Amino acid sequence: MDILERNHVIQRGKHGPVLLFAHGFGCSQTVWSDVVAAFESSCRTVLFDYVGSGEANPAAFDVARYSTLGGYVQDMLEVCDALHLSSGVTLVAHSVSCTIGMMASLQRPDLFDRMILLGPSPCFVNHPPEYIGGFEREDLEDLLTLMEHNFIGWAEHLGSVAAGEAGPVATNLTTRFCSTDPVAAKAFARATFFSDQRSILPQVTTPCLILQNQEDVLAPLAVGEYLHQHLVHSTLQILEGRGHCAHMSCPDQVIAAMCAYLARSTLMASARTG
Amino acid sequence: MTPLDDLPCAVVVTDHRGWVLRVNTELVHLVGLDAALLVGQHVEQLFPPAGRIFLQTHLLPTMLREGRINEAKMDLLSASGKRLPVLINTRRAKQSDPARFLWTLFVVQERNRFESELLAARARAETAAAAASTQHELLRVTMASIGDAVITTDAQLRVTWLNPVAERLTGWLADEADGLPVEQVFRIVHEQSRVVAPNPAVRCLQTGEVTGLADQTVLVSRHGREYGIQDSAAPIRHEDGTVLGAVLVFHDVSEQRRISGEMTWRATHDVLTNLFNRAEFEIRLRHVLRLAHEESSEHALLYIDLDQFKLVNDACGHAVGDHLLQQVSQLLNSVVRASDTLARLGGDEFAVILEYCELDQAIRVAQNICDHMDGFRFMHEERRFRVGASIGLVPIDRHWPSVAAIQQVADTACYAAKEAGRNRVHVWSESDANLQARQFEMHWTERIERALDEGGFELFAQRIRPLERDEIGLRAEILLRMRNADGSHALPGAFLPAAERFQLASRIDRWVLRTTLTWLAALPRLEEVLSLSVNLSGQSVGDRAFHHWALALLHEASPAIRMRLCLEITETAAVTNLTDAAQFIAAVRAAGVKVALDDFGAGASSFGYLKNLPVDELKIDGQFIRGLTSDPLDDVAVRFFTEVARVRDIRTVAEFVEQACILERLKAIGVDYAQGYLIHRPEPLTCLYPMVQAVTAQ
Repeated sequence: MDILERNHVIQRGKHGPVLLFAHGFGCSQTVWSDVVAAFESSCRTVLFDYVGSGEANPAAFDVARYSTLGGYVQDMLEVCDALHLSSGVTLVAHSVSCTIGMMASLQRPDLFDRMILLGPSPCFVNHPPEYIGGFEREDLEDLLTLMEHNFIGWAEHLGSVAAGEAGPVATNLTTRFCSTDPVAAKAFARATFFSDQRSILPQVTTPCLILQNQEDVLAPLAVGEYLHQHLVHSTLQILEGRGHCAHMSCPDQVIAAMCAYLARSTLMASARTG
Repeated sequence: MTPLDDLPCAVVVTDHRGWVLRVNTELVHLVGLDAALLVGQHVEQLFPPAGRIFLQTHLLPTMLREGRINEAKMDLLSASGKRLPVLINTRRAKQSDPARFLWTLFVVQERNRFESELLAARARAETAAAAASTQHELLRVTMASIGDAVITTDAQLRVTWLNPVAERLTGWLADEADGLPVEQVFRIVHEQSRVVAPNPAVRCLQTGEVTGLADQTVLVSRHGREYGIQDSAAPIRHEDGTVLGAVLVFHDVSEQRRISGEMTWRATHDVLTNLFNRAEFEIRLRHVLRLAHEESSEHALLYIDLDQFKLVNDACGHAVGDHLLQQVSQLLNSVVRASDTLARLGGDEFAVILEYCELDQAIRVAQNICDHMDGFRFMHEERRFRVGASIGLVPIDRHWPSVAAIQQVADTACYAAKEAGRNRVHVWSESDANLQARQFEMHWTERIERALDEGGFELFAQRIRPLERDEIGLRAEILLRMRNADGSHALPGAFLPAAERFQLASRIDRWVLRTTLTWLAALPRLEEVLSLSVNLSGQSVGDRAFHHWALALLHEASPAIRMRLCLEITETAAVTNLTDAAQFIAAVRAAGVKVALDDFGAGASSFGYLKNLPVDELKIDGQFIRGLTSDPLDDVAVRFFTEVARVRDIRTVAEFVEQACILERLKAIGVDYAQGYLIHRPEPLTCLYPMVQAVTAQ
């Protein structure tokens, strides 16, 4: 199967450094549209959907592969391979993709020059006292039930959309903006929320920018601090927003932070080479 | 109160990031908190942790992207911690800038119940489907990996599926075979008859039962390759009992059959000659005897013993002897009919069962064998050997009580043929008095055992005289006789072959040696005895237990007795067990006992052996002596033996001296001693003493 087709890879901009955008749990690459628009003229941007999300080929879904983060790491690396990207990539990742990106960087130390991590969390479950991920295990089990309930409703809704009852605004839902396949969504939810990747943090040597909202239920400030402490070449920047989707709710802040970081690291890079 | 408060549902107004701008009284009522405490909070605060995640990962992105949320099912979290299921719809307020979103929350207790039931039902269905899928996967993997070939058909016996092994064996891929009649894909024929074998799949659907293993069927693949297979088939039934098709399971047993065929062959054949072996021979003999009894039919048995085989074997080695046996087997095979049973019974003994063959015809076959053998010469390294066959022929008819009786007389008849001069046929008949007498004496083992236990043996002796000088005293070879019931004596030729065959020769040797030593020890004047020679069988020469026993016995005897004793070992026995024989010979000679090589020249052995076998005496085989004056070759041989013996400082003795001219010639040649009827006819040992005679050279 063609990887570019499988992962619905979309590239914009032909010149400049490569920005690889990786979406988080629940959504697809379309969450990046506001941010990507700002870089299209100066960078080569690459977007993709993980199998099981967005418009990736649903036939490629394999419960075994996508029940752990390893399967998503493979997706990310296979997309890079298919594009012959082996170095010099800047990863822009959201939520669980930050963890996936870190895992990928361990497998391919040369692939990423730097990573911009938006709302990362290496572990969502509390491990008091040293670590507060934000949730108890039961909360996460509840989430799976909640998704069950909603996917029934959404399936009905999609049916009505197909019948043209929901009006023109709703037609966008046919692009499967959010995950609606219960099996794939549950697999991704389990992989995301029950994984604990804190142990790999000290091994991650790729320079990274941690972008974190002031208040984010999925990634509390304490988690950002924890990451900053354990990632050797990390910069922590708190955004003045609330919620988990800063790239959608306040894209300007995200773009500004990214530009500053990219400019700084490009300067440093040219200082090193020059 | 605002218009929002009139609505029959809870309402929240937020900005595009989810910050609460307003709530209505219904919401205040449901949550149990003042509106003032709610406004300015984030909307996620209304929900428990799982709801917050879902809101952040699904609902807010959707709301931002699409401007609406349709029918999200969430739990509303009250101040008291109670959870209330609500259905949420969100719409962007028209012409709001900055954007405002109107959230409506319906309590959906009832709907929730139905939905829960629906979900539970779906969960059950999913579990069942997962189990079925696991089972199917397991089945698929199993079928792909098992060593058995599997073909499934529908109820019309059209192929629906083949596993990889079945694909390999039939030569049909599952895709190609799909829908074809099973007989076309799974073609089987009977191993021997080549008739198309009944297809087990067809049979199992006809009978509705599992069709057991069919044996001896061969699968013919699409490309004509053949596999020995074992197969079975079973109907596939639906739960309600209707037959859906058949499953055919088979495996390749070609190798097994080859091995089992090989095993059967080995169990019934002699590996060296490819003829039937003794076991198979006896089975067939029983079969033929049964036929004779049931049908009063006539058959015949030939016992064939090769003449001079031992000679070739000893002279040229076992490998060459084996080669001879193979050639003779081919020769015999060319003479008998294909329907006859030609077997090698062991050693150089063969047998032929001539089925449905009257006596005249059997005699012709036997004579034909002799004629062929007569013309046959075995060549080895430019040496030619004449190998004859002594054949005992026994007609098989209803009068024989058992195969054992037939075999006994066949053995005797064969022996008679040998005695009568070799390469000839002796036909057993009722009137054959000699043979009947012999048959009476067939139970040699019993008789030998009894003779050993009850003193049935007697020592005879034959004098040996010097040719060139005089001597006073007894010099003789001890000979053995067995007393028959009528007081006559049986010669060793009658019982020694049986003794050798039944491993009794060594016991006889012990008796002879012990009796001789006892006799010597009891003599009042031992000095009147010059030398007594005792024969040892090949068995004793190769038997270390006998060596130990004999040496112990010799050491018990006085040195004076030992120096008067000579042990005769045939050249053949010595060469066959060269290492053991050399050790034994050295040990007895060290004890002062002399050793003679008996029947020297009979085995045509190399003189080189003499280097390894330091002996005191050579006894030249009678075959060279009898023709000494008529056959120049014999003369040359005896001269040669004598010359060699002289060089090695070994005494020579000529056996079978029966004519005066021969005695003269021996003297001229320079042989030391002579023995034979001309000099002395054997008589009981006790008769030779005390009447010691002076024997003078003539």
